[in-house]
Amino acid sequence: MIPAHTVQFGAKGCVTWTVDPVRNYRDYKTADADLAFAQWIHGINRGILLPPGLDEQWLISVMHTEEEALRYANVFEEFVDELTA
Amino acid sequence: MATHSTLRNDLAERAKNITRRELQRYAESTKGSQAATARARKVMPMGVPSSFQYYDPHPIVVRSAQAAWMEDVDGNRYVDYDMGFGALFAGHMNPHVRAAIEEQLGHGTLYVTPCESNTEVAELLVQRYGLPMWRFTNSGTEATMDAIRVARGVTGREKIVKVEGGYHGHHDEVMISMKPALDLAGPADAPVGVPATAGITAAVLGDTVVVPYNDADALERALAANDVAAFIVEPVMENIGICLPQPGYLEAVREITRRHGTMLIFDEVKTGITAGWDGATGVLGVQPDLVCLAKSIGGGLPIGAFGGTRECMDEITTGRVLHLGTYNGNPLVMAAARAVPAPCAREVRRDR
Ligand SMILES: Cc1ncc(COP(=O)(O)O)c(C=O)c1O
Repeated sequence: MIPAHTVQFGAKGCVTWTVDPVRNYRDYKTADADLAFAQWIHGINRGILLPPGLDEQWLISVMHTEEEALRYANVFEEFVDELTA
Repeated sequence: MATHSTLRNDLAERAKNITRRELQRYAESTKGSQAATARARKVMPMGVPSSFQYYDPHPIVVRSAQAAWMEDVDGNRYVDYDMGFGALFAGHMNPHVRAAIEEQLGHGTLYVTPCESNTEVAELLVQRYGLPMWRFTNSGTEATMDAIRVARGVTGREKIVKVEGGYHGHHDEVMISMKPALDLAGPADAPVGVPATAGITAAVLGDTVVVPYNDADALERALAANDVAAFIVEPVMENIGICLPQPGYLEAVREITRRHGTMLIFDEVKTGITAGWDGATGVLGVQPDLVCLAKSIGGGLPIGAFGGTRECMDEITTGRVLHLGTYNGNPLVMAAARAVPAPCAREVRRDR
């Protein structure tokens, strides 16, 4: 199992590198920074621009098309496939 | 669990290999950004205008942005999901915002005497956030700084309480326990305030009390002496990934702050429009005494705003609290802010 889950609130969301939901700062500190960095650098090299590391957080604007909004999901899937191959 | 840790080691090993390979690729494809950063370092600390803009191994240096895209100086194109740290819900150069800016450019950018768009934008905020009076600032930092001052004015108290890991901008009293090292931060249920930067005085450190998020009992203890002016909190924390309030937490926060005569300040700089038309305040149904906005309400131009109950904002009306700023409510930013709702409201309605 990959220690990760997603959180969404309105137009914003993120991947959090913990198994359990984060309830506060101490929980956040248990997230896996190395996995987060690997995913960020993998993404930016494939045209996915996010804040680096644990503060990863996406905003889908009203100008993102469906295809643009989903591109991140596709690249993320590639990353996970390689991570778990 | 042996199998679990073996798996973790496996993942760690693969992540390390991916990182090594991708760092190499990044170095090759962002040579222009690297050179631009080296040049910038000679005249700006870290080569960036805000330390948040620096990241390892070096940031990409951008030449152009449009809609959901950015292009760097090497010609790499990116789908932007950062969107100005969440300031660009309208997108880069939304056509509505662009048209409004272009139209305003024919009429000037700074009056330092009021314009009608100040009132029009304030009226929109009244409708949306359920608070009757508003003032404009140029950033989220100023909005939280001014809201805290208003809370101190109206309560006659000095202390404030903030959440561990919470970010509310870069003024002294909230640059405490932003992302503290755990060896300095004390017990989880009674954290110690840790300055996030040099230059914080002992007096300021003493006036800011830190509590864990999602812990109503800790807040109750922090407010028990009835000497706290304000509890400032993001209703949904959006600077440690996204951290949701547990059921009942915000309702308890509202009840506890009211009982102790402490102003509740919701920092909706990030959630203000991205959470929905009326912010997290509207979506989650808990009404604070003061709301701070910035980022996405300005369509990509520098803006902030804070709104409050009549009792709070009367502090400014009577002149007991001074709220100032050369660029506050300047007509260029107001033109952009007035144009943001049209393209965004459509989207928000579709979501519901
Ligand atoms: C929740 C929150 N409050 C305040 C601020 C400060 O806003 P600004 O950067 O406009 O000063 C930020 C900025 O990231 C923020 O996320």
